[in-house]
Amino acid sequence: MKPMDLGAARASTSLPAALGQRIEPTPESKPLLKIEELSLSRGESLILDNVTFSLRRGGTLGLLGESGAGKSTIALTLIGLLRTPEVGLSGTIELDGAGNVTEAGEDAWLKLRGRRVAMIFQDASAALNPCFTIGRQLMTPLRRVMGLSRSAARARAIELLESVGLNDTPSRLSAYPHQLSGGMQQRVMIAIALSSNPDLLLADEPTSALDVTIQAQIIRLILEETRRRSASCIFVLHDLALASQCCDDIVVLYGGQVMETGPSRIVLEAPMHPYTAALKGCVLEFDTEELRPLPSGAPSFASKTPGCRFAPRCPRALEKCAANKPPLADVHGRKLACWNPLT
Amino acid sequence: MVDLSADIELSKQPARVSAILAFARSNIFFVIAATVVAIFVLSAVFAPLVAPHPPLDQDMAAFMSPPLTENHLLGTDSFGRDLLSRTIYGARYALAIGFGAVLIGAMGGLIVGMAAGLSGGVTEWALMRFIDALLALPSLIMAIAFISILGQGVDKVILAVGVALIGPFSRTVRADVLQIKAQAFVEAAGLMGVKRLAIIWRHILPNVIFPLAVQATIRVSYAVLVSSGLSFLGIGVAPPTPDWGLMIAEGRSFVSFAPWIAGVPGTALAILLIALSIVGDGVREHFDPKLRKQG
Amino acid sequence: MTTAPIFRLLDVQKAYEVRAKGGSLFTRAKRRLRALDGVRLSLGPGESLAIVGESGSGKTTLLRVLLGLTQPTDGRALFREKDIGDLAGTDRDRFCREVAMIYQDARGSLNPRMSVLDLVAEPLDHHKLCAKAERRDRVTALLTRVGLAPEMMSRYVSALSGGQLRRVAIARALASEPSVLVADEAVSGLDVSTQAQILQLLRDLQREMGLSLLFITHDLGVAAYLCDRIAVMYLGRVVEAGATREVLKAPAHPYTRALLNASPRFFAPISDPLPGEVPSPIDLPPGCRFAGRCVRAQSDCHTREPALTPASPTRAFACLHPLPFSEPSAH
Repeated sequence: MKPMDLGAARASTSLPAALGQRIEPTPESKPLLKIEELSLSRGESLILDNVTFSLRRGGTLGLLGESGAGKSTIALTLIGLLRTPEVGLSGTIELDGAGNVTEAGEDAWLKLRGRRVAMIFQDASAALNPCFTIGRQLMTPLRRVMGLSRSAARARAIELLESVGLNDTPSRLSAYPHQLSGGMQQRVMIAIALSSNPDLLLADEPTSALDVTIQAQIIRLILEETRRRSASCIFVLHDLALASQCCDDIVVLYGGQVMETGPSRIVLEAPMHPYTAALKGCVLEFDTEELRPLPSGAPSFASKTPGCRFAPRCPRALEKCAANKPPLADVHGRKLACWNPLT
Repeated sequence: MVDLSADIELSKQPARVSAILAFARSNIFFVIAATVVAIFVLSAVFAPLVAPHPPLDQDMAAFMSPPLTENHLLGTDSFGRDLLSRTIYGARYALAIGFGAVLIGAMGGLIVGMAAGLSGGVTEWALMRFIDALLALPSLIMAIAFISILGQGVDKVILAVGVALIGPFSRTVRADVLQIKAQAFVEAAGLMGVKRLAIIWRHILPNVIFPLAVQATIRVSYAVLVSSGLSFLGIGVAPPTPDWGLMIAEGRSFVSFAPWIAGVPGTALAILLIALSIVGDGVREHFDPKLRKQG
Repeated sequence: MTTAPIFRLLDVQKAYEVRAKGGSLFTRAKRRLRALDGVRLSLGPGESLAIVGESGSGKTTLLRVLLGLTQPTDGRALFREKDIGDLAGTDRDRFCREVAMIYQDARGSLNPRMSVLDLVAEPLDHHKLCAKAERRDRVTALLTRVGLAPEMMSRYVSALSGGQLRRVAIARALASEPSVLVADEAVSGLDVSTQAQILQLLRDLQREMGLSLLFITHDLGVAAYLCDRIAVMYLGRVVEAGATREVLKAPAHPYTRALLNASPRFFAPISDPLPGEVPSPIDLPPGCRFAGRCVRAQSDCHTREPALTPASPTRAFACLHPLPFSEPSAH
């Protein structure tokens, strides 16, 4: 994706205006994260197939798709947690212009993980260790990663908890995770993720376990905190409406292939890929009369599948869709991989 | 065994055979262990055909002859009885006691565990304290206590070891019942108006029986061990029955100069126990829904 | 509606005694947790009602009272004008047959040791709705109706996908030829396209078969799509009720407004969220329960408790200082 396109799109729309003022991107700035032709295979299956996208500094990006689309796989790859012998990884992941890390060893990842890239998990109650106090879980990375002294780490931990909106912070430090509500636990997770001032925050469905009013609080908090630190954020989401509210750019995935990607305003306003359109057609608004769900089906991950993986469920599939994989090409301010797009 | 059945089915269901072969390849220890258990079972069943001598026959010419002597492949004991034959006959007792005791223990555990899990309140409390009392003593001590009441004999040993196993079985059954009772499908059946007994029979029992069967396979080896221990102590099966524990006890006095007398039945016992444990673990890994992730 | 309602809740209250935090084991005072407090609802034949609320709102307790799984501590819960807890004999059988439940956890609500055929046929067998010979055909018809291939009959729960499980659960619910479907978050945790399929199926079934539908959800979009009427709950009370479209177009209660604002909508700015979280339902202070988080709260909100009062034939809310809402346009 050319950074220039993004800048132009944003300047013209001023959206997502979720939080009012934003940092205007400098058009020639290098992307913070560049992913090119990232493929991930496990045995006979190809889980990610040539995924390409980039993210500018201070930007937010949404990975969208149904379960099995590879959204979480991308997030886990970006934090280097899918580095087992049976996983085959190829392509480039470049963070801040600092070389490709797909081939890098664990040493290189240790310098990134939790320092420059941090993750907020879906289920905070499972991601926090029930045996340790909030303070200990927050102070351990501060002392080990940031090298702070005990008292400095404590002061910083209190500061972080206050910044994520917890009150009565000194006493919260000695609380155990189960003593907090789900929303509070997610706030603590965010504080831990922010503790090392990361450049890139990965939020894997950060609110799907929470009530809607709490969801709004948490999404706002993540956006505010990342913006304050001029960090970038990748959201893994399944809710298109929410993505339109909190992401500058989106990547729509199906079966590990990128279907459509571009500024969210452009892609979600007028989707050109039948899959994006179908997802949008499933979103309930308060005046929705008719839903247009896709036929059932799950993508095949067989590495030999030559064509578009969405073809078997696609209402607009042509003969060549199953035979040839459409390339990701620039069309109308976005990138699109489809032989028979909507116009 | 395995090859034989594979040959028969080869013509009919090649797909199934290849699945079995694939399973065998990936679980080579399980197949070996299953084969060993099968050999023990078969030799126990066909002991009169397989054993070279009757178990009680004394060879006056060969007292305490070492293994590989003529006519006695694994040697003879202090009475000149053939150790191979006695060991083969001994497998009958070991397996009969092992499976019989587990059957009694599992049935008893099922009844007590179901009663405790379903009743709740004071009844459950009383039953569980009773089981705790049973569990407070090791099974071997329990079995000794029962034997002292019941007297000696194979049937008595089966009963004693079986009763001693009720405690652990009822604990697991009760835990399963409590877990299943809380499942939505049990509540759903209640909402449909299904009678309580029918819910127990149709919804709870099948979900308890399967894990119990798996438990039972694992505990067979333990039951064999306890029964051999009883015989070794001289309070289980009475001499001259060719029971392994008894044989080991008899060989004990001669261990320094005729180690095979205790060694042959001891090795047989060890091999059977290890094989049974591997088979039990294999069965559990394959069938236990808690270990098998749902796709 | 002039026809007699199927379900009627008259000022139902459900309180639990809980031990409060703090104090020693023996000196802890017992406190009352009011999970439901004066809930009034009715569901007529062919009506669809959505119960909306966040966690802790009492939706689940309400459901348990309706299904007769728990007794209200005060007030009456009626099924066809008879107390649900006292149903016996033929009344009880009728209740069991007419009220079908669809669980949130579809996998847990289906016995893993039974095939799909047996699962769907269980209500048929139990209520003796068909002869043994017809059993298979009836199940085939039911499966086809919910969009499953009859070949699924021999499958077990572990071999079904999330969407298929929901369909089996719906087929099973329909098997007893019910008049009311009660569904608890029946579409949560599904992919959007599967969720859309199930919602479409439920709406078609409800309309074609003239079923009453009681749908518990946290998602206002789902409520708007499926149900004609809505009841918004907060801390054990219904704070606003009425025709779904009217309520969602111009909510009168600030809490409904907040829920509406918090629901994701395309390209809308993320709203200023409601401050704080749902407070503990133990020993609530006097006054309106929502006052502590309400942006419009005034001093009397903390002293007077508003009752659910009708504002028009199709609207009711419990708020002393409601948001302006338009009178419904006459149809």
